[in-house]
This record gives sequence, C-alpha cells and structure tokens, in this order.
Amino acid sequence: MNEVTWGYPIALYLFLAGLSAGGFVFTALFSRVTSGHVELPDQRSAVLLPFLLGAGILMLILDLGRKLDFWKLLFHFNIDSPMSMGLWVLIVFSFLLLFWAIIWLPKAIQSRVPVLAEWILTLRKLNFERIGLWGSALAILVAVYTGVLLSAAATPLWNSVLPLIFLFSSLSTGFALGLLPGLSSTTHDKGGKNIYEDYMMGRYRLLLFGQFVAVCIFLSVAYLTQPHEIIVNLIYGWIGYLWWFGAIGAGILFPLMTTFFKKKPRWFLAVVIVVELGGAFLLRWSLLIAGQA
Amino acid sequence: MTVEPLIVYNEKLCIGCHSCEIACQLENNAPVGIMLRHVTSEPQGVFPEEREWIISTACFHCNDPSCVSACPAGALKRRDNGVVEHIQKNCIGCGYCINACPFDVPQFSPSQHIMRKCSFCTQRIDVGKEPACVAKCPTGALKYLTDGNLPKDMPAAYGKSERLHMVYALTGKPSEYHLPEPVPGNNVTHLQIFKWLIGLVPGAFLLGWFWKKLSFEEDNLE
Repeated sequence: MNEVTWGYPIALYLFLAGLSAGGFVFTALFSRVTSGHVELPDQRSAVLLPFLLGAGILMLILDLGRKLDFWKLLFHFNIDSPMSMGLWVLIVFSFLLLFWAIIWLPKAIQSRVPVLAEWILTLRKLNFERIGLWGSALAILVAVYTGVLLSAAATPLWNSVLPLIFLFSSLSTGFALGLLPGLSSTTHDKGGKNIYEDYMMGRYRLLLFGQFVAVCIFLSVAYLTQPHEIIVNLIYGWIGYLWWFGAIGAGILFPLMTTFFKKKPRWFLAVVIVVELGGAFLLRWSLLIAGQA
Repeated sequence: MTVEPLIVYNEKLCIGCHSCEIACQLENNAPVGIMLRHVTSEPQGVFPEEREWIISTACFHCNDPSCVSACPAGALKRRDNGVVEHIQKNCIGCGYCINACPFDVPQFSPSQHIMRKCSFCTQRIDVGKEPACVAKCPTGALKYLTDGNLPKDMPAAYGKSERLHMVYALTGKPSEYHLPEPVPGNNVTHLQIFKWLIGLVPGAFLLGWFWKKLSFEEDNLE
C-alpha cells in the first residue's frame, strides 16, 4: 500500500472520539468523589464533550468519498465490521454525552435559562453515580473501538495491541482535559484537601504510566513478530520524529514528568494540556500513516 | 450445492499482451488510473538463468472475504456461488475495505468518490457470458470454469485449496510474484474478539479499581 487511504481526518476522528470517552470517565469519577460531600464545582469539560465527539464524527464524514451518503451507514448493521459496530456504539454514546452535558451545565448558563435550571435540578436527582458508572463502561468501549478499528485491518503494524494503547491514551487525554484546568482551582473538601490534586492526580499519573507500558508492549511485539521494515516506517524518518518527539515525548513522558512537579502555575498547565493533546493526536496520526506507508 | 465458478490464470500460456486489462477497463467503465485487472511482470534471476515472470491479477474472490466483513455500508456482498460483488450504489468510499484486504485489491477512485474492485463481471456471467478478461484473452491463459474444477493436466494452482475464486497456476513460487504466503484468511473476523478483549479487560479492571478505591476515599472526604 503506497497511497494513504486514511490521513489526518481519521487520526483526528480517533483522537476526538477517544478524548470525549476519556473526558466522560473523568467527569463521572469526579462527580462520584464529590457527590454529597462538597458543593460541586462546574464541570466545564463535560459540556465540551458532545462538541468534541461531534467534531470527530464530522471529520469521519468529511473523509468519506461520498460525504452526503453517510446516512447509508445508519441503515446497515454488520456485526463483523468494527466500523459498523463502533458507529452504533458512538450513536448511543453521543446521546449519553448530550444528557451528561445538560446535567453539568455551568451555573452561569443555567441562571440565564430558568426553565433549564429547573429541569437540571430534576435530572440531578437521578442516580447519576450509576449512570456515570455504566456510561464509563460505554466510554471504555468507545476508546477500545478506536483501536480495534485499526487492529482488524490487514496492515501488519496495526495488528497488535492498539486497543490497549488507545484505551490508556483516550483516558489520559480525557483526564488532562478535565483535571488540569481544575488544578489551579481552590475546590477543597472539608478536610482541606484539593479535590483535583489529592483525589484525581494519582489516577492521571497511573494512566500515563499505563500508556507508556502499552507502547513498550506494542513496540516489542512489532519488533519481535513482524519483519523489521514494518516497524522501521514508524520509528525512522519524518514519521519517526512525530512518533518519538510527538507521541512518546510530548504525549506521554512530558505530562508524566509534570505530574511530579509541586508548583503548577496556570499558564504551565495550559501548556501541558496543549502538548499532551497534541502528542495524543500525533500518536494516532503517526501510527496511521506508518501503517499505510 | 451451488456450483462455484472459477477463473484460472495459467502463466505458461500468458504472453503479457494486456488484452485482459483493456477488456476489463472497457467492460466495467473503470476511470483512468484504476485497474480492476492488472498485468505485471518482473525479471528474475541472473543471466543465463534469468527469466521474466508475468501475472494477471484481479480480485481473488476469497471464500471468506475480509472486505465483506469490513464493509459498514453493505456495498460488498458474497454471493452464494462465492463471487464477491461490489454494489457501487451502496458504496460511500470509507476506505475500510482497502485497509482490510490482505491482497491489497480494492482501489479508491477519486473521480467516482468510491472504491472499485473486480466483481467477476456479474453483469456478464448472469446472462451466461464469460467475464470480459477471459473473453478477450487471445492465448487462453485466462479460463472461466463454471464447474469450479481445474483441468486435469493443470498443476496445483495458488489459492485452489483455500477456495479462492481467482486461482493462479504459476511457474515459480508465489512469493516471487509478491503473493502472500500462506494464502491469508479473513483478518477482520480472525481473533477480533481478542482484539476487543485486549482493551476491554484492562479497561474493566481500571474502572473497577478507580470506582472501588473512590468509595474508600469517600470516608476521608468528611
């Protein structure tokens, strides 16, 4: 295969679908940790999620040859095809994200639309801890699907542990989006602990470390089981720069290192988020183009 | 049992005239640059033992096709007789079959915005005619066999035992012709459940652990 069938729009789609899945898991966990104990801070990332997923699906549609015929996907169900199955999972998940966004609508917006505020009050009486748990299971399915989509193809480079890498990458980007902006907040529990720093930071670190381990497994499997020219496409040349400096350096090692920093100024956190999200995109893009090279 | 048709390519009879290619192009209205049947040749060995191999390839019409498993739009269909048909009006050009095919057969046609591949000239075989490539082959190197059996005098053909519907009687090893060995099966369904589990099992553990650990921490929140 010398022509790239799937380029950056598909990488962006995989990235955004994973990001919204990870973001959901973060907000679900966060609402659980704070529920009933402290006044909930605004979860702005939850409001952002349906837009991120929507943008991802838009990228997928724009990558189709016949863009206006995308609706045909909705009239077909192929249980063998990860793309068909994944699409149905995504449809359910996008409704869940919309519902989730309405529940966590910031107070500033709620106060402008009083009817909505009443609705939200009613909705918040639901057992959203349970909704969060089942929703997180669905989110994990979405994150894994983005890996299986590539892994089921005939490309030898992808025929590996991509679902594991994409799972950790999706969750860590979701955590970065939700957790890092909160680190500079002063939301504390009754014991004086910072909700973000003391309850969620350890998990974020674990996810980044898990992603690093998954990438090591991926490289070892590819090196040991495939002809070397397969992996050479990924780790050398200009794709190699994207992979080592972008996906591994910026996407995993740099944010992992910063989790150990004591002081995190607001501007620095913004840099970490941008760098990590950029790295996660490059992870998918470099794997996509190296597989098709 | 349905009789499965077969196209067999016999390299010994092929002179590399590209007639099959042109006939296919015209019959199937393939745009410039898209070749549903493709004749390739390459010199092999060192003088005086050198020779040139020739092969005319098209879709292999696998018995268990990856492309049909991959297609999310119902544009690829395996008929009961083993022919893998591409229904152009259903194709949305997502490119998944292109990445899923182990033989690298489907091609994206930028001018038509869809994928193109050989459909075994279903429009011809349905009315009892031979596929266009076979009809126009001047030497009989391409043969259309409606009973699915190879002629007795023909040596073993690549893909026959795997029940491909486009098989190749070659004079050299398949790897010399860049054909994958062994003949690949359906890589979309093969071990797909394990590919899901590689992600879902750690994901479930992770979620369970996060959730459980939190309930312990809740006491500290007071």
